[in-house]
Amino acid sequence: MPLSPKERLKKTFPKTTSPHWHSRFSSSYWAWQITLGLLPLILLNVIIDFQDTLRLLIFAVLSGLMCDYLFAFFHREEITIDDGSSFLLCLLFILVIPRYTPWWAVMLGVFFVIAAGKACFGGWGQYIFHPSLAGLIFLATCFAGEITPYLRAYEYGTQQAVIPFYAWFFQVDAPTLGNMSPIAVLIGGMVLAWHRRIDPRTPATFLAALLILALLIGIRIDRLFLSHPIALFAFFILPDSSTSPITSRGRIWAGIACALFFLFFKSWLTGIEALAYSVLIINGLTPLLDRYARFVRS
Amino acid sequence: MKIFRRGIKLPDYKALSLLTPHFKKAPLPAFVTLPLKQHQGLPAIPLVRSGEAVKTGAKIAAAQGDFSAHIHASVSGTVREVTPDYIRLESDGKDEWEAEIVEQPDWKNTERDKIRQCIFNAGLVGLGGKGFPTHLKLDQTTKGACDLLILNGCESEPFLTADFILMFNKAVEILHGARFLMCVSGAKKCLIAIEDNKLECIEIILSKIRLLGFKDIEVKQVPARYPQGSDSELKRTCIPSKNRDDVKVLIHNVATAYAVYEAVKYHKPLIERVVTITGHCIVEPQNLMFRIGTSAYDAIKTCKGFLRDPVRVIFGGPMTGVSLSHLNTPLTKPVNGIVALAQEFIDEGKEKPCIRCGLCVETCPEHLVPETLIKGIRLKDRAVVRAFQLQNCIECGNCAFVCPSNIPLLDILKEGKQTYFGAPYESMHSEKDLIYAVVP
Ligand code: SF4
Ligand code: SF4
Repeated sequence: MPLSPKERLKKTFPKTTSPHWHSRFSSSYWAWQITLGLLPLILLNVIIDFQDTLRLLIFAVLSGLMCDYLFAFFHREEITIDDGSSFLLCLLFILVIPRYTPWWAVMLGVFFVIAAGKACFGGWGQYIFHPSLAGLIFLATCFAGEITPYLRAYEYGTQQAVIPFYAWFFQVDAPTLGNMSPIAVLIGGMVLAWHRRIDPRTPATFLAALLILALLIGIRIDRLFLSHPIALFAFFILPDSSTSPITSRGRIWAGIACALFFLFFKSWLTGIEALAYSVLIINGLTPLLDRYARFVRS
Repeated sequence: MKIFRRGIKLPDYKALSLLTPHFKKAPLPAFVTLPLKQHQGLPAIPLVRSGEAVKTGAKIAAAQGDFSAHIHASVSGTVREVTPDYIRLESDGKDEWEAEIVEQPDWKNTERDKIRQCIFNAGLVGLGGKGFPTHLKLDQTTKGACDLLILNGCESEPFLTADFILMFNKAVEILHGARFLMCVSGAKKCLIAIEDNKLECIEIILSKIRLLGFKDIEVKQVPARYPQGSDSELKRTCIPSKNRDDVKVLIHNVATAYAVYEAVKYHKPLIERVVTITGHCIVEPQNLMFRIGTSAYDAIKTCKGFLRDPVRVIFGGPMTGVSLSHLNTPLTKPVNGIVALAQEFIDEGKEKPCIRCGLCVETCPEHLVPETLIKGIRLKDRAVVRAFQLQNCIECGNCAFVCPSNIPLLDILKEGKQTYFGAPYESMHSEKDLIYAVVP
């Protein structure tokens, strides 16, 4: 029988500490939202290159989640494959590797991403270097013959003087899935940044610094943007929560520094590798940036 | 920059208890329990013995020295119990008041020392939740002559509307109270800070200022963001940054100003105050004038009880309040609301590892880095705790509210402050647990 309003008054309550309520926003929810931000790109990928996208997705996600499960199982840790972080890392991984990567290389790379990149450091939030990029570098080093040529050969629009407008929406011959449509990534990223799922400071300063520097040096901006997955890195990989600075000023500096490093590396490393290395360097510098960027009141 | 303002816009749920914006007195309770320590500082000393008859407004416990406050009988009747912690009175239902609580002749021109004496005699404490004795706060500033009085009408805690009701119904009285406070502190100017979700109050107060012709009182509209009501945030929004360090400010709650008015005009001690009884679990959420010492049980029963089972019942707002373990706890002077929180507001999920999302950093009003601080406290790293300035934390609870990993950041920060800095000194509500701890 339901209690009457007055009878309910007799109850006792557990004593808790303030704040007594919570935003009810959880980290796994957050990871899935960021994954959702990649949806426009993935959809376009499926439309443009159905076969490769699906092959990469299935191999990477299945083996990634399995690796995560096995690692947690053998270490007798809590199994956290449903928190979305491994899924996100696998997804980002297939977006940065060449789309012709053979399946065994994909599986090996994903094992590296999850086991060495994420789990060995203690899981989500603990790793210092972005696991997906670590996986990419691992592949590029181990299978230099199969992987690297694809990464390096691509420079969009070297033959054409005028770049067609549709290239911003889809590039059929892009070497990586992440490179296929800058606009799709931008849309997803902007929505997330608007809702503060991604801190807008990092992408904004990174893109602004890149634009200004490119203008100063005299690189063609449209070619730069079309040949590299810059939007993907600006919105999804550089502001990754665990590896980027946490203070707001640190985030601004990270964006600017990353643009500098990228243009510096670009002179001898073409393509995605230059981006990957510059982000990894920022990852390494993160504790330092955080320390010097903190707000100090005298 | 406006886009990157610190603090959070909390869902406020203030409309719940504003269905009837009246100013009504609650029925007299049969029993009242008056803890002897309802304020920061030393507990009061009982002056009555069990079995004695008292009238409403009689002094039943005297302040122990200056760093304390008097306590008065809030109903007329018999003293039933006197212990070192509390005095319990049984009401006779007649509510006979002490003879001297009447309107004073020429109260508008009360002198400065007299006002201070009235405030002390009335046992006034800060009614915004901190419970710091008002006369002490005034004394601190009169020595160094204060420039600006800020009346805090922000009420940035969600759910609570007690100050709203007071400003809505008693604007003239609050303005007179502000005048008295200015007179004692020597402030030349008074700002009434009101959040922009209470535009009605702003209008009413502005019109009353014009009516009374108080040129030295102004209303300042501040953005509705938690923790707007904290001292540091108020100073930041009310004083231009160039002379923020030179201006000596005194901050009082609007409810305190109202109580000062009553204390000076009628010599009425602080025996009742507006309390919001609200939350999604209460049948009729509303604001009522409750006698101090009414138990939470009686207060909620006045509002027709619980509609459904609350998960937590809180004295004060959900961000900084104190949760009750049972409903016999009496309302004390600083309590401005009782919130019965329903299940859907509480995340019982267990703590997960920090993912460095930066939400805590983004919402901290004091520009701290809670993530690094808790790491430092947990690793007992004194250097980190110092370098990241833990002492500036005002314990507002924003970081723990937003943390997606359910890390009890505020508990860890409080603990850290205890170990590294002894007693928490700059905090919004640090002593409150102490005040409510005397539960019979
Ligand atoms: S809000 Fe919580 S999870 Fe996010 S950085 Fe702060 S402590 Fe870590
Ligand atoms: S409780 Fe302290 S650290 Fe946390 S948000 Fe408030 S002021 Fe910042």
